[in-house]
Amino acid sequence: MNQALRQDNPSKPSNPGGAERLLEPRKLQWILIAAVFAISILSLISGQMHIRPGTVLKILVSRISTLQPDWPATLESVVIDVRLPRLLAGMLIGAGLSISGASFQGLFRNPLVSPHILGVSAGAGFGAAVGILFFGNVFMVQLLSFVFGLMAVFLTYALSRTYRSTPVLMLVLAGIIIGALFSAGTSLLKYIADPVNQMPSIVFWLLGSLNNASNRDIAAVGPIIVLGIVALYLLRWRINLLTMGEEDARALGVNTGQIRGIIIISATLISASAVCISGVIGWVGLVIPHIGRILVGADNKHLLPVSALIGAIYLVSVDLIARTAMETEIPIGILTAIIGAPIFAYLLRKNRPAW
Amino acid sequence: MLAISVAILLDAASGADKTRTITDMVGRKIQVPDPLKRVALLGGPTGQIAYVLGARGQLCAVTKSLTTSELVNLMDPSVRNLATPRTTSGQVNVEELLSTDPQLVIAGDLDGSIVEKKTRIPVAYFGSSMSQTFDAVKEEIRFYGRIFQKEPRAEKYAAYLQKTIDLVRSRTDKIPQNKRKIVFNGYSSNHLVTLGGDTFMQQHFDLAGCRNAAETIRSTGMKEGLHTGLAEVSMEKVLGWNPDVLIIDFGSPADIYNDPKWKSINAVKNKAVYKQPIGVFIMDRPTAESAVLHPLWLAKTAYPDLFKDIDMIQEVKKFYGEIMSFNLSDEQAQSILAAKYAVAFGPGPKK
Repeated sequence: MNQALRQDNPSKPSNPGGAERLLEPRKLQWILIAAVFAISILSLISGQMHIRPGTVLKILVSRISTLQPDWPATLESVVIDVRLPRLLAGMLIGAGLSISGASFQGLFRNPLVSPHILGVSAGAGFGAAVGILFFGNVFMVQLLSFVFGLMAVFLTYALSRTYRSTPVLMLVLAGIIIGALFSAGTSLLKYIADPVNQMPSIVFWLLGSLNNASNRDIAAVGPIIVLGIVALYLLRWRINLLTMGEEDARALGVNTGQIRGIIIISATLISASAVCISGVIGWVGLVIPHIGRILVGADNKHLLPVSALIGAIYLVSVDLIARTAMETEIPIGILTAIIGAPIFAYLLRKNRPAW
Repeated sequence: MLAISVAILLDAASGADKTRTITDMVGRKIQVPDPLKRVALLGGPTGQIAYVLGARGQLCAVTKSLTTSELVNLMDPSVRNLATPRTTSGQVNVEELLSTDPQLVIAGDLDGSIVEKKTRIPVAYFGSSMSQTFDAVKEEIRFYGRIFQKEPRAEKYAAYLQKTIDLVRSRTDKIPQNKRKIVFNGYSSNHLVTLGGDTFMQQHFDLAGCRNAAETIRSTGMKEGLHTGLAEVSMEKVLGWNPDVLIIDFGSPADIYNDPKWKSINAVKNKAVYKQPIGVFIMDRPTAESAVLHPLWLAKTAYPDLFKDIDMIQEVKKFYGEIMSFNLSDEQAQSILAAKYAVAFGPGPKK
C-alpha cells in the first residue's frame, strides 16, 4: 500500500475526531432538517420582488388544493417558476455535492478531495463550451455538459485501469490528467470563440449560477441527484470499511472494487447533473464535509447525512445572498469560494479535525 | 502585398518627413507622419469607422472582430487580408503589429499601454465608453475624421445621425410618459443579461419613446465574466418589471413563448419578443452603426403605427449605402434586421 496515502490517515470509525461533540448525531440531524425547512421558507418569501409571506403560502397551497387565486399571475410565476426551482436546485446541488465530497474524502482517504477530483467538472465545462460554440441552444449546452462530465470520469477510470498498482492513487492521477486535458480544451474553445457573445457566455457559465434553474431542469435531473444521494447514504457503512485501507477492507470480505465503483458512479451522476443546471460551483463539496466532521466526527454513518443537510442549507443561503444582496445577480461560484475559503481556513486552524 | 510595397516605395520617393500634431480623445498631443497611410485600429467596434469615413485604404491592422464580421466580409472580402494583432482587450500580438509597420496605433487604454511599452509606434487613445451619448458618438467620428483627414465624411455621418434622431424624436416625443412601452433587453442565453440605465442604451430608449425596464440598474464597470455595461439580473426582477416588449440576442422568440417561466409577462402575452438586428457589429455597443439604426428599429418595433411610412429595409439599405458605401440587396438588408449575420466566422450558432 502506498505510504503517502497512508499518512493522510484513514478516518477510523472508532475515532470520532478531535472535536468534542456538542450533540448526539441523531438529535443534530433533526435540528438540521428543521433548519432546512426554515431556510426554505425564508428563501421562498424573499427576493427582488416584495410578496407577502401569506400570499406565498396561499400560492403554494393552491397548487395542491382547489384554492381560488386572488393574486396576480405574475406573483404566482415568481413563486412557482422562479423561487421554487431555485430553492430545489440549491438544496439538491448543495446536498449532492456535499455528500459526494464526504464520500470521496472517505474513499480516497484524503481531506483535500472534492467531487471534482475525477475530472467531472472539467469535462462538463468543456461540454458546455462545445454547446455554446457549436449549437447556441440551452438544451444542448446542458445535455453536452452532462454527457462530457460523465465521459471525463469514464476516461479517468479507464486510464487508471491501465496501471496495475494501487487503484486509488491511479484514479487521482488519472483524474488530474483527464481534468487537465479537458480544461485545456475549454481554454482552446474560449480562444476561438467570438469574444463578443460566446466567450462571455462560457466564462459566465463556468462561474456558476442558479439564476437559470427551471422546473424543467429539476424534473429532468432532480431524480438523478436524489438517486445518487440515496445510493451514497445507503453505502455510508461500507465507506467506513474502505477508509481502513484497501487490504484491511478486503481481508474483512468487502468487495472494495465494487463499492468504489458505486461511489464513483453516484458522485459522478450527482456532480454532472449539478453542473448542467448551475455551471461549476466550487468549494461546497470540499468545505462542507469538514464542517460535518467537526460536528459529528469522521464516522461516515453520521457524516454523510449531516454533510448533505449542511450542504443544502449552505447553498440555499449563499444563493439567497447572490440574488438579493444587490439589484444584479452575483455569480454564486464566486460567493461559495469567497465564503468557503475563509471558513475552511478557520476550521482547520481551530479544530484540527481527524480524517 | 503589392499595394504595401507600392505604398512603401511612394513613401520613400516623396521622402516625406512631414509630420502633424493630433490630439487624441484623452487630450494627449501626438506627432504623427503626414499623410497617414498605415493606421492600426485596435478598438472593438472602431473598425467600422474606417468604412464610415471611406478610409479603409489607410488601415494596416484591425481587431479580429472586424475581419470575422460576416457582413464586412460580404462587402469587403479583402478585409481578411488585414493583420489582426488584437483579438480581445489586453491581447495584442506585438510582433504581428510591428510586421504591418504602422505609423499610428489607435487603441483603448489597456491595449494602447501594451503597444507603448513594447514599441515606438505613436499611440492615440480613444475615449469611447459604454455610457457615451449620441453627441459623443459624433465627436468620436469627428476625431477619426481628423486623423484620416476625412472631415467632410465625418460631418456627413454626424448630419445623417442627427437627421435620424430628429425623425424618430418627431414621432415619439408626443408619447406621454405613462403610455410609453416598457422594453427589456434580455441578452445572452438566459435572456437575463442587460444594459442598465447608466449606459448609452438609456438614450436609445428615451429617443425611441420607450422606458428601459432596467433603468434603475447600474451596470457600467461590472466586469466579472461580462463586458462592461452588461449585468445579470434575476428572473424575478424581470417578472416584476413586466416588460411590454422583450428584445433578445440569443435563440428565437419561439423559445420564450414556449417557456413557462416567461408566460406571465406582457411581451409574451402580446407576442412582442424580437431579436435584435446584427449589422457589421452587434447593436448593444455604442457604435456608429448602432447609434443610427438601433433607436429607429426599436421605435418602429415598439410603435409600428407611428412608423407606418418607414420601411426598415429601405432605411438599412440607405444607411449602409450612403454612409458605408455598402450596396445591400433587399435580402441582405432583411438578414441584418433578422440578425442572420454572424459577428464571428468559424464555429458559431448560425442564427
